Amino acid sequence: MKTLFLSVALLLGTIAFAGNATKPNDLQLIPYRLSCGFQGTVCDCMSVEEATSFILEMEKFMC
Amino acid sequence: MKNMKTKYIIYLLLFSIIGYGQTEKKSIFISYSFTYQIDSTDVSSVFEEKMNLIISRNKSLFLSKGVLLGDSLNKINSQEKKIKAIKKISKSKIKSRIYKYKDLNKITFTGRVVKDNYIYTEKLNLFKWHLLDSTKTIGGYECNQAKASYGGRTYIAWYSKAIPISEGPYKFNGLPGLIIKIQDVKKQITYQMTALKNIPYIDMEQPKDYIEVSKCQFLKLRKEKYGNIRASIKQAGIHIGFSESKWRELQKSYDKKNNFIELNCK
Repeated sequence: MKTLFLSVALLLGTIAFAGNATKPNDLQLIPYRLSCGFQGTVCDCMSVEEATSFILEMEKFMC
Repeated sequence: MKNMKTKYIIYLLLFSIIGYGQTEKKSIFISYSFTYQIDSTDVSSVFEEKMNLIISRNKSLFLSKGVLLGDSLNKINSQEKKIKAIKKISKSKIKSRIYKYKDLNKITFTGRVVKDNYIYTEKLNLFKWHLLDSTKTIGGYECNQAKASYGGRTYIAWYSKAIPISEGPYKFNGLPGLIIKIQDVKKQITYQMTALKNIPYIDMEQPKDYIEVSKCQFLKLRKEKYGNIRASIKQAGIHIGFSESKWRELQKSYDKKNNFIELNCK
């Protein structure tokens, strides 16, 4: 009985660990603030150049 | 019978006025594909962008598809839709506009560096073309070859006398036909026409609210601002929460932009 309990616990633990290991990282958001005070975020998944280009265009059209 | 004749004359007059109005009020919309090696040391650093040349009588405007899209942005009321459109526009790498004014014999270049809009003017007849004997068919157009140097590069142009418009992409003009293809001899810059159509007349206004500089000043300040992009962004009053490594990565990407279309300001 004890062995069975340990086996089940080990199995559940393995599943939980595997689940965590394969879970994608939460997307990080990078905050920005434009010269006119407008605030927003860009996704960390964007390349740094893409994100900057977007923020500079936001500055052009929103400020 | 007399009434009939008068009616006929009126109709004829009316149709000729409409016809005249239609031929007068047209613009030509030409699309070019632009291929550009952004880093002179890396042949794989090539990007492609769709560019447009709009010709309205004595004026023309050359700009990227992204910048053109930006012009219609003020018609969008929803902020969510506006941000989506800005995301699309931000993918465009070419932010400049080039106006050619034939009657004023000038070219006006406008460019944005970080936050500020700059403008400089040059004479229209910038190019000393050497007309060459070679001919080639490009996109169905019989083309002639010409050669000229500008901004530290030598270009080979293919123009078509079948389209007798002395125009071309970027600042190029002055040939006895439309430039269908132009490429620098190092093959780092290529413009090739992809489409041509008539569109309803578009009037192009002289750009306003720009900081007037000389071409040399523009090239110099762009180099300076890109040389320390983090400081330039901060100076513009924009704050971005990048990590130190992201800022370094950004500077590296700006350092790679070392192969500008114009290598010198002469």
